[in-house]
Amino acid sequence: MTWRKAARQFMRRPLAVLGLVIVVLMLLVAIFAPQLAPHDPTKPDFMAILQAPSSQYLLGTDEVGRDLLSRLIYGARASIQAGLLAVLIAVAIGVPTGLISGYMRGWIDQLVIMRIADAMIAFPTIVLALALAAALGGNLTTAMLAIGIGSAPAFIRLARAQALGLREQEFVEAARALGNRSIKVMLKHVFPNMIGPLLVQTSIAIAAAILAETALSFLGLGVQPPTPSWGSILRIGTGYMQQAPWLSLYPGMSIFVTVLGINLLGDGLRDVLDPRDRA
Amino acid sequence: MFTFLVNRILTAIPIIIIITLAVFSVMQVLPGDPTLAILGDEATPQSRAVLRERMGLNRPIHVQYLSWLGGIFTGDLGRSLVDNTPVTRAVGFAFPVTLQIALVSLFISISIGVPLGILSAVRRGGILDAISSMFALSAISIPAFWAGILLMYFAALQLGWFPSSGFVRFNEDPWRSLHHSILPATALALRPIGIFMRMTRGSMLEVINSDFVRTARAKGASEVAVNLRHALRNALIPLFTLIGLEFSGLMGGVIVIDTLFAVPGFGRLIYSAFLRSDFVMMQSLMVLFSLVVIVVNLLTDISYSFLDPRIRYS
Repeated sequence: MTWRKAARQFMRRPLAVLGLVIVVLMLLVAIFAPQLAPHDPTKPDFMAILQAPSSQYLLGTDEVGRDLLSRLIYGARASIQAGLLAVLIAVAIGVPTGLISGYMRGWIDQLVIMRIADAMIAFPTIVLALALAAALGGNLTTAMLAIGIGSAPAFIRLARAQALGLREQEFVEAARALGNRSIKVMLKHVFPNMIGPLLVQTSIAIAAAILAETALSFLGLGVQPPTPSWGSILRIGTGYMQQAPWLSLYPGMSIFVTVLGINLLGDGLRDVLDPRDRA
Repeated sequence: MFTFLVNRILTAIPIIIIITLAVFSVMQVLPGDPTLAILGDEATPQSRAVLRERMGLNRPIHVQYLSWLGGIFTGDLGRSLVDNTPVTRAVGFAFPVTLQIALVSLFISISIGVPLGILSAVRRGGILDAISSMFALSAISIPAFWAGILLMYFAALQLGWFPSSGFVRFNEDPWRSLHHSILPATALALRPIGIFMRMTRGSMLEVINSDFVRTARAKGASEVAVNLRHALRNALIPLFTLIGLEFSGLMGGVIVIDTLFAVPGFGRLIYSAFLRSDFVMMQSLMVLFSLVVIVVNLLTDISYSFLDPRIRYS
């Protein structure tokens, strides 16, 4: 299937387009945060502590009088950045490893790579983040590293499974028979044919990475104050659940809508790109 | 069958070795000296040297690793750096709590996710399918801790149906204990609900169009019997693998949910060990977290092979 045809099919699915719109909007919010935010997200105003949503503060203020809407707008940056960079790490580790492992096969594939991937899967990402935070300090970088490593095994497995299937295909065999070196066959013939499923997995992984980053920031292991992030606003917000429920409501809503948008987009991509699940 | 079991258990061994090696290496690069953590900053060099010797920190690194590994398999997980209590005792208190919440969570997610998936598949393309598919996607997209916050706010603080935090042990008062575990378990169940629903729907759709289901329908079996007895039974087999896979996420989620609801489970144990820089506790707990995931995966694989004989012989 050509990419153009896939794009046309994608645009015919209303939910997938809705997902794309949400994702584009969130990206714009993150990029243009300084232009969009009505107030300074880090400047306390002790005359305006815990104010309910009003015309001046559309979503209310927090425990030191900072505008919640502005903090949420800037918070989009941390979550989206963390989601993208963590998945970039996962792709950089997982795809070459899985591709080589699946194409070359042999004992390194069976006994080393797959066992390491299994071990990584058995290790919950948040536990890994705790370990890295203990060793390197809790901040956004260690959180992203932990999420990236935690998301890598899914890419190793996918790239390996694809490579195992593709290496038996006639066009790959032909490329080998022509005397091409393995590395060239992998890059020019195997890899381009697994991009579709990889894109689907990438969107799923970004959604999961954003959820993981917000959970870590909620625990105080991700973005450090005063930089605003959705997870850390919720962390403070739970302490004021009765007096200021908006501090617990809107940050969670931002995470939910963003992740839902990415998942809708991912489902749409799966429908048009991934032959495995075409029912 | 026996060979399958032995093989499956043997594959877990290298995984456990990789995990213990990784955990041990990470804990070696930690900043700070454990003797300072125990004795405080005022400690004399002599007393610290004595403690180093007693804790075995002067031994070669591989000896330390092997003795720690040996401890894990003989039930000696070391002692907490903070209060010197055995780690096994803390684990003994926390494990039943986490097991209970995980089981309640699994029960909720299967009993909602699977029926929704069947309904969706049987009514494919209809309004019910659209609603439950959207519900499933939302359940996957909602952060578990925010779902917990919402549940806490509405079901506990506003309506007063459930306690908002704390825990009662099962052996003290089973009824109140379950009551306390419902909100944390529901928050953890949302993602699996969505995953199980989507999986059930997908595999039901595949099975519904297969020859044996058409045969069942052709011989005059009722619609309900066709869907439940013939289609569902075969559609459910992949569920077991998924339960195993979801368990890793569940164990991670426990850390956030325990913290939010003040549940004295595994999650709170490792998080407070982290906050108090109790590295001996952390090191052993990290291995235990992954051991739980490995054992659950082993169990689901084995039960899977009982249900589907093809697995055993492939």
